[in-house]
Amino acid sequence: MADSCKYKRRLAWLLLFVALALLPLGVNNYVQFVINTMLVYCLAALGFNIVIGYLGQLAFANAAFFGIGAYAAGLAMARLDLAFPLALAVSAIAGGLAGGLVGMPALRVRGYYLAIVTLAFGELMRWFYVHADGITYGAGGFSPPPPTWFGAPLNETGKYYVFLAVLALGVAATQHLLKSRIGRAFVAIRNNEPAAASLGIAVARSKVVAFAWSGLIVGLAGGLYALLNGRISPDTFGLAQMLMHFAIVMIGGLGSLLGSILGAVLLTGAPELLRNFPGLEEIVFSLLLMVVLFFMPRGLGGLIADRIPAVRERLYRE
Amino acid sequence: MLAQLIVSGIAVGCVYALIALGMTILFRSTTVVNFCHGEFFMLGAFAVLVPLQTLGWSYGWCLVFSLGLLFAVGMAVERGLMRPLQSAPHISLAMMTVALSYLFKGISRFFYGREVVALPPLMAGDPVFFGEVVLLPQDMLIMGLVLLVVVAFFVFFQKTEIGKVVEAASQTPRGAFLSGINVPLLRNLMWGVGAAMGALAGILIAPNTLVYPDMGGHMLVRGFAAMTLGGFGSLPGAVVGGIVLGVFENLAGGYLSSALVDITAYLVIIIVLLIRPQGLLGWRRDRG
Amino acid sequence: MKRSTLSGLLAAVAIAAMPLAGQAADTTGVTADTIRIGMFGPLTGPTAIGSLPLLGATAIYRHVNETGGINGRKLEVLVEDDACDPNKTIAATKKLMSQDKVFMIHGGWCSGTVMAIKPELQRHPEFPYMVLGAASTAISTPVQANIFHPVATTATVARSMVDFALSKPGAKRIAIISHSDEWGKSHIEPALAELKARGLEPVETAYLERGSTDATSQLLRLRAAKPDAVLAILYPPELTIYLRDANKYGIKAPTVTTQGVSLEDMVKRVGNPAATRELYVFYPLSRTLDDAGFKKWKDIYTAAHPKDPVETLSFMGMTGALAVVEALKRAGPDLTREKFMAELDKLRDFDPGIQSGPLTFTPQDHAGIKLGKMIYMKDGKPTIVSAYPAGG
Repeated sequence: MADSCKYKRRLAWLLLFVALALLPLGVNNYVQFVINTMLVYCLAALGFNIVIGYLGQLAFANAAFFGIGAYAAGLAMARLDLAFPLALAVSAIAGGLAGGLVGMPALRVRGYYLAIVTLAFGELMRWFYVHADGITYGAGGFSPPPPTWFGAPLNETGKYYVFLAVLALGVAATQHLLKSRIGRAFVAIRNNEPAAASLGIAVARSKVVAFAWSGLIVGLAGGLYALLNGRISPDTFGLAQMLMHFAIVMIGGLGSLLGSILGAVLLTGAPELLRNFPGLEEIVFSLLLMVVLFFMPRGLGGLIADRIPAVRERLYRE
Repeated sequence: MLAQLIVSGIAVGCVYALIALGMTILFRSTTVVNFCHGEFFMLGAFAVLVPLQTLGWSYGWCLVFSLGLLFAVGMAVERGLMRPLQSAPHISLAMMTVALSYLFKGISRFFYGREVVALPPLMAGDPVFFGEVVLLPQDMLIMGLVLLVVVAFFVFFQKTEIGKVVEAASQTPRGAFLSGINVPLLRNLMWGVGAAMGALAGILIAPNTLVYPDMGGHMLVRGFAAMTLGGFGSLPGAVVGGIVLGVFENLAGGYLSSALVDITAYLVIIIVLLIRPQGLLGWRRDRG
Repeated sequence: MKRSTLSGLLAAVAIAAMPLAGQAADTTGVTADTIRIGMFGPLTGPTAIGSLPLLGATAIYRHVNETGGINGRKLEVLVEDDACDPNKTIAATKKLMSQDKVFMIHGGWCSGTVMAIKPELQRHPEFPYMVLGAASTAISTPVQANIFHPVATTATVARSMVDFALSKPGAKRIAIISHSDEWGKSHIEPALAELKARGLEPVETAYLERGSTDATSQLLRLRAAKPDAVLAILYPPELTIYLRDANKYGIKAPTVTTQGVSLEDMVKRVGNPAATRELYVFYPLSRTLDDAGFKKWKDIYTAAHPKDPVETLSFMGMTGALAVVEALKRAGPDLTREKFMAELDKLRDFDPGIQSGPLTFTPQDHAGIKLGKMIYMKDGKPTIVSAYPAGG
């Protein structure tokens, strides 16, 4: 690569970094909150993409992992008085364990069956949150103690930097995983499972790893969500949440990191912009999804990747 | 109490069976799991309500209108949205039905969001007693109608020429196509039938539950559970699954805890898919 | 925007520290001729019926503007939709507070959404908040200085329901059928406490989930328990199923229900007078809607919203709005948030004639309404009663 190309690229990354670092100065509390929400959904979409985009399995357990992470972090702070970094670690671990657990029966169950059983799993978790109210505070939900940083409460701006750091870490770690042998195994399995097995790929183990990692990332996103809203209740993690994740990943583009980001930004920002037109949100969402399904099956991420080779190489994986 | 629980469970189960039958027909003809079937259910109820309330038509005509409209909607959905995506990965088809579900909900919410409206029952009247067991005329109508539909399907598929043709088309589309059968047309008609069946279920149940935009979600899951229990893709399975599910729900709620009624469907799905994925009567292969 | 890193950092610190700098008299949202009020409620979504109280409140504000405003200022009302989704409510509240910079917020129909913003309101104790229609007791207990609750809480409703059920001569066996969500639980707990105080326990407690189409197993259990009265803590669709099925399975006990339903509406939906003959609904208003004393409020409502339904719910937000207006008036032309809240805390026996009882706020108690009666269909006419009518 020519030196000038490298230089331009470095400059672009530096500018991006500075812009991101200084963003809080130009926005009010509310806009900052919306941006923080976008970051959370970027991470959730990234996690979802691992299972549905890279591994190619129709597993609809994302909302469940998201909820498990949120509850784990929230309960860790509320019942065990853990500080938020530890609570986030708990949410990641809980998500990872849940992912591994779901991954195992996923070995035996395929296609639409997997979709339906994972949806049922999500609803079962919601029933648990409502009825195990000794642990989970029941149907009304609860508000964990607000996160603090060295004694001072973490406000919207503080959360922004934390979320950004966590997202960057999550992206980096996932990229690393996807480039490794196991990561490439995911895609091989998605494209042709018997062929992958015949090449010596440990299919079962790879699948479980994919689910576990997806659960970890999405669980972590759930932990961030608990910090973001300060209120955790069972209704949040039902089918509507599942659809949101789905829409983000489909509109952004399956198997595309850039797509996850674009999808998250678009679908989190749109409801805020549609505030003055109550009742149109559902209709706009569904029409948008249908348009993408028809005309852009590889989503926005795919569209951009087609145009910009640099993006295609680094952030998009077919 | 046991007898009542079982009989009422069968009555409710018949509605689940009708929903599952509709979904199974769609699944067999296009291998798509229709996530917007709950909305066909809801639209069917609304399609009776709107002419009844705003145009003053008689109940009978409203019924005809609703079934006809939903038949047309089903065909339009297949022709306009499903067929172009036939070659796309399955996930796109599934997502399309999800998107449709939201679209239909959003549209009906736009017009009827602020109210929950009552639909008069098809058969009014006092409860009827059979010994200790009591049923409403509406319940008996539901059971009778579902029996009729099941018998009609059996006769159609097993005994008539056209039925065998449809059966062939859904089992091996390519072979059927090569034999000169108009597979796309059959698919189209099957979507119409499936949608109309969803609408029928909505019309039967709406007098009990009232008509509102979200009424479909509850039913969709029951439909999945019934299909799973009976065996995905099996028509008799859908009926058996629906009825057994209805009875299970009632028994669990009556003898164990009323908190379990809501979750029975999900437990059924998980347990069946982990232990015996082909359900009670299903095909022994996965349709991924 | 040209800032050096240091001033940028200082600005960030200043912005972050702003919530702490509340000592100066807080006149956010007040200009020379307007007072900005933020509102939120479910304009859309499955519980959009809860937008009716919001319409009632905005009708009052509009009427105030038409009749001269308050101390020379008009009310500017901003309405946000939250579709009863706590996450949307959090976003809407942040927007109203940080971007639109309203003087106060009057809103909330679903208790879950109000509970979700309680922490944010705690972080900003200078910011006044008046509940629109959410009834959960947990909103105002324990008391928070900036949260005002002008509707009968679930504790008041539940206690009234129990008292009423037990006022039936010889009644001892009380059964409960409820949703298992927060709304249901927040009624069940005070009901159980009230029963316990009288040495009683429910003979059966059954749960019916939202969206159910059948209540057979629950009703058979209830029937087997032979109750003298049933407390039905259900929303309209499920209450309809309960009433129909109760009639079908021959449960003769009277049904006592919450303020979440409207009597005429239920009678219409069930469609069978025998099934609703013994239905008693907690009535949050002081008179029936066709009473002459209500005409004034109906006119204000229909002037502002000619095309919207006029139901019990339509009037539930009005007393809160009138309390807001009264406190704004009393705070005088030098309006600040502190003065406004101080005036609310002095409101005693405020009774414009809409709510079932007088409204009283004290610094220790912000649950303003402590009374309520039941309403039922007596010979086809809605009638208010405070105890079980003699002769059934």
